[in-house]
Amino acid sequence: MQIRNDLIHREITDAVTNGLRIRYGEVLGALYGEIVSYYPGRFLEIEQLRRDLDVEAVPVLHAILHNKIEPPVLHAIRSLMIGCAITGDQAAVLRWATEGLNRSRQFGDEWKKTVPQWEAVLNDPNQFILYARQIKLFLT
Amino acid sequence: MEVRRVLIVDDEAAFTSLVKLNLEKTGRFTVCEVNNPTKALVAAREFKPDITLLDVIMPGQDGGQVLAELRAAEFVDLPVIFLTATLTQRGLHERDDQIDGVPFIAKPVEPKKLINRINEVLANS
Repeated sequence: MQIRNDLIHREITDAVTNGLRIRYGEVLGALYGEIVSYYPGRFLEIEQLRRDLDVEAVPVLHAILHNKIEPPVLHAIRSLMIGCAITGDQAAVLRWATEGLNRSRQFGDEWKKTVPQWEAVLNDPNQFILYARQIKLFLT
Repeated sequence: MEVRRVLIVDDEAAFTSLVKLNLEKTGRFTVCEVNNPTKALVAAREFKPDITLLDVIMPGQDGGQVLAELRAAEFVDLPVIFLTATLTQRGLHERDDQIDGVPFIAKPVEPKKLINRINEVLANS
């Protein structure tokens, strides 16, 4: 039974690494949102991601300080939160989830529906980081 | 020497206490701490600050919302410095410690740097 499980696990891993990662890299990258630049042949680099997070945070801060948060900014906040989860930065994940929760309450029904998602991250950031880092395994 | 009044709005009480301690021990500042951003306007009206230090992301209301509220009231020209942990020191330094002309300081804050920045902003206001 153990041997069979090991085989299945290896098959799944092969399928993901050789199939999904190489053939459908952009799709996997898109799972993380716009912030994570991921292309087949240039796998995810954590240091580059940290630099990207710094750059991508600027327009969001700009929107916050002018009190002009539009739905595209909320998309960026979600991407920043996911990017920070990949780097394992729990404090940053909590910060972006806090901002996402604050602002998603102010928009129409579609964004209001995301309130429980932000709350879930705030209630259990470690679980969220764990999931994000699991997917990361297939990108690095 | 004139003692300047600093209002700090940040949900982290440990952080605001530390800033208050560091600023007041110079004898040049008196500090009012607000840890609930929804109470910032009331506190500003009572305290009448010369400058405000505003955290960017706080539960309930972010720094942008607090600033909009202050600006819509009688604090149209109140100088503001934003405090943020969302950008690294390096990232902020590359932008001359400001975003769109508004001064920012990255957390964790170095007291000396904060005092210099406050003096700079007050001198230019």
